[in-house]
Amino acid sequence: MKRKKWIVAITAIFFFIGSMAGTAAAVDEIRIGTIGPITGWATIFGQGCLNGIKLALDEYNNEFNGIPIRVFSEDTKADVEVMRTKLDSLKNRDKVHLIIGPSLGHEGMAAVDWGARNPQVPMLIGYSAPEDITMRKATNSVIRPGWTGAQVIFNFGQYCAKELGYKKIIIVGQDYSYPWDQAAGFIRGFLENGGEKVERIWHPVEAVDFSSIMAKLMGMSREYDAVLNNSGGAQVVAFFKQWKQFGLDKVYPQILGQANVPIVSMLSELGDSALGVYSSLHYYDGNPSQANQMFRENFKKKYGHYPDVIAVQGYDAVHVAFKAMKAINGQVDNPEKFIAALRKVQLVSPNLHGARFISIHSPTRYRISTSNKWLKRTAG
Amino acid sequence: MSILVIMSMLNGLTLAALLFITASGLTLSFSLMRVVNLTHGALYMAGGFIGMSVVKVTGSWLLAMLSGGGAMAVVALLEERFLLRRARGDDLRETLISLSVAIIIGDLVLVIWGGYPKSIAIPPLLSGVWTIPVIDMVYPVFRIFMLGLAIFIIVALWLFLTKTNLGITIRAGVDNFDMVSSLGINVRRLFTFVFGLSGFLAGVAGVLGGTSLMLVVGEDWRILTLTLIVIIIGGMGSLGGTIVGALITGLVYSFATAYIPEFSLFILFLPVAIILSIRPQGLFGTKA
Amino acid sequence: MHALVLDNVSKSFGGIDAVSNVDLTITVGESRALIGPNGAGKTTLFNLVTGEIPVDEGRVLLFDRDLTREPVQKRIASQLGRTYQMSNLFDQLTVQENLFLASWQTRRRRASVIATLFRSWRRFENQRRHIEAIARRVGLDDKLTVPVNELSHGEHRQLELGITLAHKPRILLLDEPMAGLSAAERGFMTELIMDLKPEITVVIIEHDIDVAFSIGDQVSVLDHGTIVAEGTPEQIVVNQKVQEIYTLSRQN
Repeated sequence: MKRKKWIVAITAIFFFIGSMAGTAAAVDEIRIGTIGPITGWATIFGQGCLNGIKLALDEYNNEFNGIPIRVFSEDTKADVEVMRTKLDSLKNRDKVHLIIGPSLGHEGMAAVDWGARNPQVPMLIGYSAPEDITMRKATNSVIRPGWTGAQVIFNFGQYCAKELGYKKIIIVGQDYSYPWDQAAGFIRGFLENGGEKVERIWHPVEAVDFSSIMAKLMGMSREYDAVLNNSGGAQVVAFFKQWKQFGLDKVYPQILGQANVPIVSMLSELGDSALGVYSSLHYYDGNPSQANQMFRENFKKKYGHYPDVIAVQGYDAVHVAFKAMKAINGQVDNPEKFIAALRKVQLVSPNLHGARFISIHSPTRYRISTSNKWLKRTAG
Repeated sequence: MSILVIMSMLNGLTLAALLFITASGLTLSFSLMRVVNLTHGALYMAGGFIGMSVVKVTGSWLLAMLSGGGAMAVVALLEERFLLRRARGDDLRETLISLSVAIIIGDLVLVIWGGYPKSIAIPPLLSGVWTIPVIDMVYPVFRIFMLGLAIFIIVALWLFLTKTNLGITIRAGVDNFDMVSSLGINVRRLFTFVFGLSGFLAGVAGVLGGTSLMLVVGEDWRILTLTLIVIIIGGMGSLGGTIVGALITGLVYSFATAYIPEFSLFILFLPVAIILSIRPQGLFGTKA
Repeated sequence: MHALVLDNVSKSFGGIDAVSNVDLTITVGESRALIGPNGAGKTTLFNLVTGEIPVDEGRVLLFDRDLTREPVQKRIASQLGRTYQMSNLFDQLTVQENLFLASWQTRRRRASVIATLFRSWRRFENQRRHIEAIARRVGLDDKLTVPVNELSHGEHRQLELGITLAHKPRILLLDEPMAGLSAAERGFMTELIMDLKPEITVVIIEHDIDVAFSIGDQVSVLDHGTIVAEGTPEQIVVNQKVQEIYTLSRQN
């Protein structure tokens, strides 16, 4: 009996010491979890964001005030169910202090739900763009240092109607939430400014062959002025490939793309088939600012290709996190404080032309001086 | 409207061509070894990526196709020789081995070529469109080429299987597998060869698919699913069944995407569900 | 010279003796009928000879070579051929393809086999003649390109015999080649087998005593895994023991 008591006592002491160590000293490492699709059709979105995160961390030597930073990367495979499991393991197994990610529309929506149930884990949204993440579904622990999809496409709809003078447009896109948002934003901007008709064609997220859609577009060319490709990732490559194969570049005067279409990492694969595509985005890789040029060159040095807006978003998220950590003196083990600090950060992104990050519930605001910054004509 | 019908028909036929080339290898290896080789999709994808690199380095698309196929033939040979052979007869183990190899190949591709989608440039000779005279309709030359290549492969496989000594032996093995070994034929070597041939066809299909569609990590499982649909419809182990299965899958996909794209997956899987419940051995398969 | 010698061969399955202490000597050119009631161990004895089942004890000699420890393939190469009780044909293949598969292996030398893999046997004159000769011999020369699943039952049996002949065997084990045949087909088949003598040594398991006695110069009677009688058909007919066995088995 005596012996048993001793064991209990010793165990209790150990636990006590253990808990003391936890509260007394500052954290001995800062654990950041990243989440996003690293494989599958949406790899571009997850990998791009992760690349940006790692580049930014490199700039800080992967430490904060001498405390090492450890990154735990999880792959969602663009699957929400997988993402939930991975978020749980980031929280429970890796005990991360901050999560950066997700990068897809439907992932973002699911991540807010997860965030509402896990308010102790601060989360910075990566490239995911639905408005509701920080509007109708907003929750305290989920903060958006990035953009919303409808923001940039709304203006594009306006541009197509007013500047290009189109009346009838076909939107071809993947059948899930992000392209729906894009289509909605575009249609509103387009119809409010003189557009007459928008036909929508939805295909499965992982469509294999676009030949039938090309056939359909060919037949519709008499009535419609232009086609807007409303897909993301690998699907864009397949779409443009077949667009060119079927000679549709000669049938339609102009191919339009939703915001994600002409991101840099894609252009190299799209090759000539992307020549002349019109799109709108809040990042313009030709931005001549010195900061942006440096960012581009450093990125290229590290990864062998130029960054795109997705990488910018991951890159900026890390800078936002560091500003917040500075404000609370590295006490990332106190999530309330950390979240509050994250919400107060104001950051002028070195890459987005004159853009700034304001962490409030409404979508991030970008201050854009002239509308031509929204638009870019890709020249191959 | 009639143009759309003709176009959808051609699209269906040419998609069927790609599906057939992919599925023919799988059906060959299945019919002889009675194991569903889940590595097949990964072989398709890796073959495509190798082809892409070969095009980048040499500029020769033909060489790309041969090397994509050749490299995958070697991978399949090694898989059969060193892994599957040890588990021969144990269906579950064989399937799990092929699954593991698929995952390993998928990861290797990710490490080597990265996760960004890629595509292979169409060779100049086969690019552009062809105007069909009477109805004044344009159609991509490369897709016509795919159809031609598939027909060529069908004829070549048919000649090989019915006219050559090895082909007769393979058909005998498909028919009654235990008996071939009692004839004194080295069945193990036969398996390895057929597996290699199957890998070759997968690699070639990967280069074709990468050229006409695109390549990305994850494509392996998508293609495997489609291939399995083809084989389920046509019946495992029957070359004629694979042709019919590919045609049905290609045409259904094409017409569904043209007329009701939102439901194309639903319509694609409908025949699969019906056939699995009414005629599980497939349209042309024989009962096991 | 002896075509086949079984020297004190035994085999038991789970404690039950299927074949025990069998001695059997068959000279070259002889035809031997093996008879005995169901379950006497006749087919097991064949399997021991071909090596499909290893012996527990004793030795198996073919043409004076000890092949007790050799695999089936080696024994087939030693010019041993057999037919089975069950059909042993490739249903989807044609008659000539079946015959080709059986004969292809006989003259296999590795280099030459690999060289012919991607060519058709029809391109090889001697191979084609060989196959046509066998087809003629078993009465199927007009059915060369017919798929096996379109043949009649009797034709199946003829083709099975042809397949064993394709190996150019010097000794042939026939396991109930007449099973399921009509009287007319039996007569034809008996003639075919009789024609094999004397260049091929024949060992035949046959239930039909008339057939067994007309084919076999010598008859061995098997019961409960042992040989109970041996002799010419005339001797066997009058053998007391044999009569007992057959009366008993009939009563059962």
